Amino acid sequence: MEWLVRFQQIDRRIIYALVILSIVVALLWPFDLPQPVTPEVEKFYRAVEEVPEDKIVLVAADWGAGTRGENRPQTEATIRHLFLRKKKFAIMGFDLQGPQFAQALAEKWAKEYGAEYGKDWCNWGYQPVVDAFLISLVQNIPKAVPRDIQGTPIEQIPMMQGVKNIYDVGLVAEFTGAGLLQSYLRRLPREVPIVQGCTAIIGPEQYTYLDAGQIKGLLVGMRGAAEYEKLLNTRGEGRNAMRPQSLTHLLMIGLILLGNLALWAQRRSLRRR
Amino acid sequence: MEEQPGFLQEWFAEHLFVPLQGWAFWAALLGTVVLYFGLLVVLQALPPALRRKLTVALTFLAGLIYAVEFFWPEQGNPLTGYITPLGAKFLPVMFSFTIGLGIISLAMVHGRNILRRRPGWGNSVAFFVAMLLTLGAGFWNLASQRAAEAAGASPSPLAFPRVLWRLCEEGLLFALDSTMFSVLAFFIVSAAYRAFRVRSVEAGLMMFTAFIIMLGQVPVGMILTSWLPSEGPLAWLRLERLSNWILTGINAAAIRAILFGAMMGYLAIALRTWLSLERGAYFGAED
Amino acid sequence: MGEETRREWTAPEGEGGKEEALRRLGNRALLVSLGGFVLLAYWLIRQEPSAEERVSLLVNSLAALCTLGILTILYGENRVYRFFEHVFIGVATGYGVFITWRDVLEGDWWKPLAYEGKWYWIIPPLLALLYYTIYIPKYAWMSRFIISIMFGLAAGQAFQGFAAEMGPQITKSFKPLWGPDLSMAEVFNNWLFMFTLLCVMAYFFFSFRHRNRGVQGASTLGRWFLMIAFGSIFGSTVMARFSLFINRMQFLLFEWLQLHERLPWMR
Repeated sequence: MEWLVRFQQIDRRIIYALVILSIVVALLWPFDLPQPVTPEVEKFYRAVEEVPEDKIVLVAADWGAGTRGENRPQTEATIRHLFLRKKKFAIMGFDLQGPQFAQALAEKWAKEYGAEYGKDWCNWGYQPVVDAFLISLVQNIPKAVPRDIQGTPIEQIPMMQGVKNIYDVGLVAEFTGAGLLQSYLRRLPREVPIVQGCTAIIGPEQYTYLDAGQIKGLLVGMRGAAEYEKLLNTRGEGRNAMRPQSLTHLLMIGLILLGNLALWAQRRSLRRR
Repeated sequence: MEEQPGFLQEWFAEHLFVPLQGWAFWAALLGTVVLYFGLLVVLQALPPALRRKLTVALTFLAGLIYAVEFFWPEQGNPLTGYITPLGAKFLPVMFSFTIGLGIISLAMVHGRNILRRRPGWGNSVAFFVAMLLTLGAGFWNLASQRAAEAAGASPSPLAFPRVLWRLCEEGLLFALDSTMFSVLAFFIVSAAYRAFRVRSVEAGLMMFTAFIIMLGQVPVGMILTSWLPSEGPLAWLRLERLSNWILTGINAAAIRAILFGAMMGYLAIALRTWLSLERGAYFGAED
Repeated sequence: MGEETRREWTAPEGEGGKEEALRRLGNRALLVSLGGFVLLAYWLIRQEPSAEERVSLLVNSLAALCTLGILTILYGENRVYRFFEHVFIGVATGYGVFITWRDVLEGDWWKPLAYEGKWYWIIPPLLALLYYTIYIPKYAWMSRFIISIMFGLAAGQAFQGFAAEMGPQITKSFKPLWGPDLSMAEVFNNWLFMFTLLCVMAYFFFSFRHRNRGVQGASTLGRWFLMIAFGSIFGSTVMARFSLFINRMQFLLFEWLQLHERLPWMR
């Protein structure tokens, strides 16, 4: 058992190499894995399906390159769903990069679904101030967002005709790696349904809002994106990433158990002496 | 929901905040600047006690705008009409100008490194070059796109300004930003392996829960307990369901309890800040 | 960053030659790696049929170089990582300024002021100037002046914030503990939810001593429930961290090296 003790101090570079190896192997070896779907993702899906025809969806891309790995597949799957069901949506974001990323995703999939900028989606761009802007958005959308990201006056955008205030928004789909959901919950009226796609770091904290009915659906991290892709019968970044996620999780659990076994072996040998 | 103009808002829009042309425009502009600096001179001349009282009064009035909006019903609230211009236009523009604070601080730090030839000063040069290159590429690309649109053509993806901007945005910024965060994956593995030792019941409980959540989040967890029936009382023990039950049950309740405390603190601090009762390194500083 | 990544190797006394040799070896390895990278990128770009695709691959190659440059920190503190770190700060700063101008200031401030005669838009930058007085000690108090006003604005929003966020949280905490429409599982879950909530709240009561054994027991249980919550957060955080690196590897393997097209079993 004494040989176990040395496993308390494996060189970190060996651990890093194992992590990289497990990810590369999983990405290059396309074995199939089942994908369960959790109730909160099913609720997210249903919330998008139930958006009334005469209302728009607000896709709030409040994320940047730092959380791209998780928020991009979530946003991409949602945009695809909106195009598929022909729901009009407006992109905006409180992060500098978010609206650019979401715009690129919309442009990528617009061709496949025959969608057109201005008629099926538009982009309000980056907004620097959170709470004060949301309060203004509730009252008067054309005044809060006078033009889109290309500088076109908002009243000239076909899909924005008749959109006066927040009650013309049928759903707010917020994607973030930060704690911005609280601002939406505080400033938007309860009649406007909100769904969220968040990073897995803040995911567990959002379940309390799901339980209280303040959000109607939740996508947590890459897993949430993978489940959503499963519901859409597509295969994107989310589902492809579940293979390396599986291997690295097993590696992590194995290392923690090994470290604890080594500690136990060390204590046993000390007690014997 | 019809928007009502705020108190004197229409009068301001018709008599004071009116677009002007020619010499009237310049007179109004210069007059505002002169008035502003005049006010600064007056403020600077105030004794410290009066400065503090003025700060307290303006802090309270600023908070009153949103506080009244909450307590007073919309119909008849004299301040409602100011909410949208304040939040959607004035504050975003004002806050956008504060980006210079960050730039000045960074320039001071890296400028000092270069001037004093501190070790690694070459990296500070790289900082300035990268910043100016990105700024230049951004504006050049924007100008080039607008020139193409004005000429009735669509901007070419192969135009040099466009390529340069893509190199800065996608080639540098997005890649560096993503990778900076991604190295944390290694540190969490290494840290968990070294530090996550079960030395108490609580630590064991935390580790056990972490394992269930980790396995429940990935398909491998579903495979490990796929032998359990999908219906019936034992279905609850399947890892994906067990992990979801923990997240939506115990975890949600515990987080809610933490949230209650945090929100009480938020309201208390907000009230103390609004009423200028807060004391501390910043709030009680001598003027 | 962990402390261990900052430790730099220092030569023991009398072994200055070894340090110098290691540094030369490191420089050579760096040059060889860079040369190999450039050759690989050139070969990949040449494979692309159209000019647009070559430009995309050039951009991806630069992104790959930056990715690998940052990842060198995994071996240890080094000059390559520091260089790319400073480039990142510079690019992010320049990008922030440009996007702020393009998306906010140009349309909301410059055009109304310069082209529409709206002279009053000079007021926001004048007020923002107060922030900059922090650099002048004699006038620095004015920065506190404007910051206090902004604090006041934010504080005034707290009432609506508290009511909107906490209202549903409080009402939904009163779960039905019995009812003809509830299954046994739902009853059990509701009891467990409320019990957990009360125990964790009991743990956070610091205003009085926990003399009562019931309160002590509830507090201890609350701590255990908190451990379960923290275990959930940790388990979830692991997935989050790996997601970011997996995304980078997906970029390197598929978007840059395009292995999904080159490897026979992936085509």
